[in-house]
Amino acid sequence: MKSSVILDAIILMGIYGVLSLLDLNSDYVVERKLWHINRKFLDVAKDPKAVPPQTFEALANEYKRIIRQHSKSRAIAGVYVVLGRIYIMKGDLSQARDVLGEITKLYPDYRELSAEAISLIAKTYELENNWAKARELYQKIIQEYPRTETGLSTPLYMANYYQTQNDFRSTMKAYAQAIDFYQKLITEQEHSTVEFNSLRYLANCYVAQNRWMEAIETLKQILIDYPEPQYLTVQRAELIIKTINAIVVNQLKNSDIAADIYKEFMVKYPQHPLNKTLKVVLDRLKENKNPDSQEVSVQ
Amino acid sequence: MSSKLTPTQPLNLLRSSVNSLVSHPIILWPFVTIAFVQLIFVEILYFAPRFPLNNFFGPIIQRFFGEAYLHYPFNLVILSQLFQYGQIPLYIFVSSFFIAMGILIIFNINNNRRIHLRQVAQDTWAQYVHIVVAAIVMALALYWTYTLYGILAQKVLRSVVSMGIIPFLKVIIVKGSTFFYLLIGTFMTTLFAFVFPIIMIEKVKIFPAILKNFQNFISGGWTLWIVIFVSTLLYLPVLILRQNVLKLIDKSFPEISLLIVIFGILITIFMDAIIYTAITTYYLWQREHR
Repeated sequence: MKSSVILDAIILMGIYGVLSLLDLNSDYVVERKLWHINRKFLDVAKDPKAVPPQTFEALANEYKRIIRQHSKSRAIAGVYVVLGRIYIMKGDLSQARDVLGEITKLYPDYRELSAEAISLIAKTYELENNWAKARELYQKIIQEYPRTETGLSTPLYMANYYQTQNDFRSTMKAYAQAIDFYQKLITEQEHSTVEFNSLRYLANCYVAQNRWMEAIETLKQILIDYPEPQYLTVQRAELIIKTINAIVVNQLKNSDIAADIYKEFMVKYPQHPLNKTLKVVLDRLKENKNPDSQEVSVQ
Repeated sequence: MSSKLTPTQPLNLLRSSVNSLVSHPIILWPFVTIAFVQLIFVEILYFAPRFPLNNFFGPIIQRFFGEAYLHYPFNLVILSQLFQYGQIPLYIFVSSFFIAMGILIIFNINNNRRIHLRQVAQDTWAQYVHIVVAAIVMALALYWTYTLYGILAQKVLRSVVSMGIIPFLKVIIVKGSTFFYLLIGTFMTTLFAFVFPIIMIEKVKIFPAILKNFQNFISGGWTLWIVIFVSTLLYLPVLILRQNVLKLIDKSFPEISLLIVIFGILITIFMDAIIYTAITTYYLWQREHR
């Protein structure tokens, strides 16, 4: 019995040892090391102002060590972004720009990360109140990385920036450019994540400009064209329905517009799990009650 | 062994089982072997998203769970779930065989015969088809009972009635689901408790064994259920840990899910050994006093 248990333990440890050795330098090992360091990073990121510079430096050194040890791993590209963020938090903006600048040179094919890195570099200039340089980089993202997540959000970000600066003319101009940008992508990228996200940003632009009917039409297009669960998640459905209801009740004073959209959706997708919620919203619209008191459910 | 005891009382039966395991550790061998096979399976699951096993498992995990679950730490989040899925075929084709071996070992000890593991394995192999069919029947019965409980629980939870016993039931179902599943598990184990001993000791086929099992269940089910329930309580900490695995990962480290699975396997060695020793002892006692 004893020898049997010992033999079992040896076999188990042997299998563990062999499989660990076969996978010594894989992305998985890097991911595991990163997870532990990322936890420290998240702790630091909670209140960077309370963190002494040595802690930032120690954390940065841990990331640098991983970069050195696993320079060929695919997971390393993202480490540069985190390292850049650490230097931004530390206030060492020049160092942050150096680290982030490496990404576009070393990983030109990682378009999402490259766009994110350029956006972070732009933020460092914003922190130095150098909007001219930041704007130049944001424009670069829009032109060179238009289909990335960062690229898609940048036109709206720029318009919001001008709005916070109370620069009315630049705000209007930025919104107009953003609308052109999103409309162009919508025409080019039929039924794709890019079109879906462009529609969401476009609706935001219309709402910000009080262009209510165009906002409603865009939100309707999102509902009707993207009923798939990977697009129309519970949270998104809730947000869209609440926005439509708020616009038709408070701005357009015509709840029939919302009712028509929901009815069209239910006719087109009679089996859609959202219909149960839409029925309740429709009843509430009919009774002129607050339609948003119903929780959205697509379960 | 059992002939010297009168295990009509649950406590006596439990004591008799533990004493048997202490005086004849060979009984543990099949259960240790089951744990060994399960641990190898856990190792495979642990290394599934990594080279070289990811060549085979990668597309499967990606298809059913998504790309993220091939990466650390998400692979460890689904480890326990994957292990549970794998447990079903493992129980039907492997564990059942070793449990039957354990029963035969206890029977031989009871008859003062020497234990030759090779001979026990050969005798068990002769009954393998019936053992596997019995395991399938038991697994299906357990699955259907869990499904039925799930449907009933959903009905209660979806009920809009806010008066009487319904709100109280909702709280019990939500808070006590782990305990209910444990309770159902012990009941179903008791219901089919004698099937393996009958197949192995009386050398009968599966369906006569099931019939005879129910006859024995009627006369001794209650005593046995208490023994099985008390032994299964050993597993309760594992169930509670498993239920809170995401919180534990968040508070400690992702590998905690792997440690919980291993802890569960190790606890199961002793739990199953006690349960099947008790069942066999009780069956042999019933057989002698019939």
